[in-house]
This record gives sequence, C-alpha cells and structure tokens, in this order.
Amino acid sequence: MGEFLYRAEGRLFPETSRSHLEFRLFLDRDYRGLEIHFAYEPKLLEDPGAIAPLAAEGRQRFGLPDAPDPPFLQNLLTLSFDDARGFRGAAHRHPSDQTLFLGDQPSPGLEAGPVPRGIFRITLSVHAVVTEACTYRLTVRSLGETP
Amino acid sequence: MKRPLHWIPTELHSHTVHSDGTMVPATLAAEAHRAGFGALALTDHNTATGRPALTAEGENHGLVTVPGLELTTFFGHVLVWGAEPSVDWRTLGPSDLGPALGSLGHRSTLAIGAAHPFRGGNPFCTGCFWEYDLPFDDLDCLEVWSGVDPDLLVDNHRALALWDQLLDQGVRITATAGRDWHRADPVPGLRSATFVGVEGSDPTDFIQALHRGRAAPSLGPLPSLARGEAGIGDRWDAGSDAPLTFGVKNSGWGLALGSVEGPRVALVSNLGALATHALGPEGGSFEVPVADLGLRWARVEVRGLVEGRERLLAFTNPVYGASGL
Repeated sequence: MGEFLYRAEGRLFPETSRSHLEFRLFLDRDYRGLEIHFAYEPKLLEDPGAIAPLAAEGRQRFGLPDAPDPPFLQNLLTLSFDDARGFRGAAHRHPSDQTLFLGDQPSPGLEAGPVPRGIFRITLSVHAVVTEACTYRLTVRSLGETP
Repeated sequence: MKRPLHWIPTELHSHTVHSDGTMVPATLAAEAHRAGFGALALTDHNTATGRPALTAEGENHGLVTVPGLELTTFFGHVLVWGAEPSVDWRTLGPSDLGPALGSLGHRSTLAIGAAHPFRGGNPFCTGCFWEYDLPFDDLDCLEVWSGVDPDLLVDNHRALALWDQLLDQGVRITATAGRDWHRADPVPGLRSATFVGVEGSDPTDFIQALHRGRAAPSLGPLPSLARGEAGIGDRWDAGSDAPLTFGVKNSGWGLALGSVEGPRVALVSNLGALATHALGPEGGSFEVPVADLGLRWARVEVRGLVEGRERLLAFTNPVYGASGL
C-alpha cells in the first residue's frame, strides 16, 4: 500500500446540494500515479415518509403532477481531478464506495499518465444530498514516484 | 448539383463505464450494431476518455462513431458532439452557459444541444431539468425525444411543444432523439433513432447535418419532405411556386408501418395542419400547393396506433420559408 498523501472527511447536508467542494493539495514530487479512495453514506433514502414531501416538491417544481413517488431517492457525489498541467478527467458514477486510479492504467473516465509535482485539485461535486446528512471520506495514496 | 443524402439511423446519446453506464465501449458498439444503428455518438458525462476505444470498436462493426460528451451540470445537461469542448462544467451557473459557448468561437466542428430538457431535476435527477437562461438560438439542437418509447413520456410532449413554440418564434434549432443509453438491457418498449441525413460517412458529416437540421427522430418509418430543391433543414427559394412534397416509407430499421393500426402522415406548420393522409403498409407520398405567404416552416409527423396506444411514430425537422426564419 502506497504512502498516504492526503485525507479528508466531512459532513454534507441537503443545502450542500448543487455545489462543488474543492481540495487543493500540493504534491512535492512527481508521481507515477495516485490511488484515490472515496466513500460516502448513506447512499439511499428509502423511508416513504421522508420521500413523499421531497417528491411532492419536485413534482410541483418540474410540472410533473402525475409522477409517482419513487421507491427511493439517492445521494450523488462525484469526483473530478486537475493536476498542475490540467484536467485529468471525471468519475461521474453512482457507487458510494469507489477506488480510483490515476497513472498508466487509469480508471475509466480518467486520463492516463503520471501526476506531476504541483497543485493537485480534487473537486467533489455534490449533485444531491437527499438524506438529513451525508458523510464522506477521501484519501489519496501514492502509487510510487516517477523514476 | 446537390449530393444525395443518406439517412442513417443514429443513436446520439449513450454512456459507458467511463461515466455511469454499465457497458464497456466494446459492448456498446456491439449492442449498437446489433440494434441496427449505422452511427453512434458516445456522450459520457464530463469525460471523453471512452472515445478511442469506442472508435476502434465501431470500426470493427462498420459503425460511424461520432465523438461526443454530455456536460453534466447542476442546471442542465448539455450534449456536445465533435471536438472536446474547452468548457469547465464546474464553473457554470444558470447564466454562464451562453458566454461559455460563445468563448468557443466558430462552432462548425461542434454541435451543441439541450438534453432531456423537461426531465425532473433534484431530487429525482439533479441537473436533468433545463434551467439555463441562455436563448435557445445559442444551441444547435434540442433533444425532443429522450428515452425508450419516447412518445409515452410527458416530458417529451412538453419538449415537442417547446420546439414548436421556438419554431414559431423564428428560432432554428434541430430536434433530435436520444435514448440516454446506459445499460445493455433488453429494450422495454419501442426504440427510437435520429435518422441523420448525411452526404458522407465521416463523423463531421453528422455534425454538419445536425447544424443544418437534416434529422428525423423516428421509431422506424422514414418521413420525407421537400419544396423544390429544398429538403429537410433547408430554406426554400423566395418566389418558389413549387408544392410541398412529403411522405413516409419503411426504413428497414425499427418499427414497420405494417405493424401500425391506422397509420397516417400529416404536414404541420406554423399555420397549423396543412394536410393529413392515411397510409398503407408501405407508406405513401403526397403534395400540397403552397398558397399562403405566411408559411414559415412545415414539418412532417407520422402517427398511428401501436400496441394499443396512439403514438407519434416519427417526425422531420422543418423545411423553412424563404424569409422570417
């Protein structure tokens, strides 16, 4: 397991929806790659009593009077990355526990290549928090330095 | 001399594991080929990393692959076909899309459209509902049909009504269909395609065709429309005394007219319906003289009963009047 480079945890709320949190970390070396682990919970809101008022508000807002209450609503948080040279891709996906790789064999959605020294930016896009609160954990590990 | 157009059944909105789809590019290309599409646009959310693999796999299946991307923001989903756009979706508020698209300069290599503009947004699907306040003139396309069996969805009825309203206002915007294809599941209903009228088989031909309005969303029947030399998406010549000619035939893709009860074709316009004709199982062609100088656009709709429900089965983009648009 590679060297720990960064760790963050936090708590998000419905009011955090539709905003981006940004983490800027300084990498003092060139890396062959990075392993990013990201997890959040809960993922789903399944309580019909909690879904009903949110769905009613959505129906009214979007003019969908006949839409039934969905069986669940979900929190959606996604990550995207920029290194010192530019955009490194986005991981727009639904699982609430993700391990992502940057490097020669990147995860789908991310650009291949080493991660250079400089500011590395992680953007946490909070598409929706529908539960009372949602906690997240984010860690970044090195996959080794560039020779 | 105009080159003949080839009308290619195209899927313009799809995803892979490079965003939130479940298919790898190889599976998506194989599924698109199996479904009979001639062209496929990969529009993963906020990333273009699936393009090289899809292009290679598309070649193996004889599919034209149109590069694309879905700028997935909190205030709308923006389909971009062509070169990867230098727009940072994370910086866009409801008033920022217009200036961002303006900064792209001449857009001949890109076509840009609003995806599923009336799908419910947060808490159902954040950003799915179109909330950008830019004029629709700034876009090239509007995804009037989204999803499988699109005419059954009320959001698509609203999109069609919006499109007609825009046409009446003089906005020229190309209507498209897109499944928003995420999974390789069996299709739980009727599938749609956008028949794109192209001169060649390069991806840029498809982008040019979208710019020019050479598109007809359909479940299978292929409608046609012309006035003189002006075809779908074209403007007819001032002073033209040619009639509007229109019709529909089976495309060989998707639903055939033989499995439709009471199929009929209508020529609709800013002046209302100009003509309606019943169709046989092979379709038909018709013409209407143009007498009214107030005619600014006309388009074809094909309707009929399928699986017990009355549906819009296909429609063209308009042929446009010499002035006013």
